[in-house]
Amino acid sequence: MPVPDEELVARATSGDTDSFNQLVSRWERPVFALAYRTLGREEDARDVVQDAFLRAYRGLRGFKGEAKFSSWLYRITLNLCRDWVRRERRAPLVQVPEGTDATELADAQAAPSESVEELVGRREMSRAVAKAMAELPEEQRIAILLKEYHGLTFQEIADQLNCPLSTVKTRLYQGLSVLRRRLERQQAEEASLRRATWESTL
Amino acid sequence: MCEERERLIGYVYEECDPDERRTIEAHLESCHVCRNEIGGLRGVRHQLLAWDVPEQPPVWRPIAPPVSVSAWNAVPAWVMTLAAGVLLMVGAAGGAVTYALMPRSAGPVTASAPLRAAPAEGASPDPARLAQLERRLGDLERSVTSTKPAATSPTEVASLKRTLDALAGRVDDLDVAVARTAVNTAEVRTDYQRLRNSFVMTSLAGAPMGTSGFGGAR
Repeated sequence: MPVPDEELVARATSGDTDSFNQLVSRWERPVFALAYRTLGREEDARDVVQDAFLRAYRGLRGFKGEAKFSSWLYRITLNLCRDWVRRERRAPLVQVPEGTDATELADAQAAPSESVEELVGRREMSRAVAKAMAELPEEQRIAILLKEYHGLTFQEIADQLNCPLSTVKTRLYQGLSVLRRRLERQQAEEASLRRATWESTL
Repeated sequence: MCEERERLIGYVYEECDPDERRTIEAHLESCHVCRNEIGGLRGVRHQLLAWDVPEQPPVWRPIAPPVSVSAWNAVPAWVMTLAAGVLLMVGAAGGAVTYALMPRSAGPVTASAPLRAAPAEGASPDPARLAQLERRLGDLERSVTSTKPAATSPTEVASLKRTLDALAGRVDDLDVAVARTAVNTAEVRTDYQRLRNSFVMTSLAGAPMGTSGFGGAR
């Protein structure tokens, strides 16, 4: 049975560096995912992850356990992402590899049961979602990220963003509604393009 | 319900209380617009799952455990400073005593007798030894004066006189050495007292409130 975060935090606070390393290996991937989906660039997300864990290590004594360790870590990460956007004066970017290499796609198959066509479809959907998310206002995007990809409750999101519970629900509803419309429109445009290409080959 | 569609979000994420849930389900039975809305929200949630995050090697380099330090490194700097000061003072005092007790010779030092004699005499500058020498000097003087001049040759008298003078000079040297030692000891004691006072004042000034005993929190 894995050691709870709170226990690892207590050990790390009393100087056990191995416990902190365990916390990092447990939370590095989610923290990177949050930073990557917020900023859209792998290199910047990696830098944020480094800084986030460095800040967490230095501020470990200040963590009083009022919230979950992961929530505290997410707050640090989001603050660093905001600092980064402010400093670089750049909006989140959709970083998608150009072109589609069939060999690479075959290597990237998540499961043997997934065909290359399904993989291509998943890649396209991933790119479409990333693009639609990048166009959302920041407060709606962050609320959706924390809810959909990190499973925070409404209350935990409200605590993260320092806003009322009802505001979180409104942001989620409005964000999902906008995403729905944009994704439907994109799918319609792609279907139209495919039909036109098919017709031109006849 | 149709005017407050934000309420549907709690239903979609299954984070509404049972009463709210029952109310929404009752409304959905009769409202196809809200049913469509629920379906659309669930559909977009499913699409969001497609957003991949690239695989990454570990970004964080594990922290190495702290290097153990020797017991000497754990001794506070002020203790080391004090110890060094005390050693310095002891060394200085020893040097002063040795210097004061060293025999003074006017001419160049010869290889044998003076070098052997000096530590024997210089090593015991105590008053008892001085008193003994004084007594021996008195005996010698008395023996010289009580000796009949007719019985001794002038050469012997001159030799005895030189011995007497040499002994008197040695006694004077010892007197001076004892006096210098007393002065040096007093100076070392004064220096030590001054240093100690200075150290105590410094540590009291540098100590946090509450540990110094001066106005600390109670």
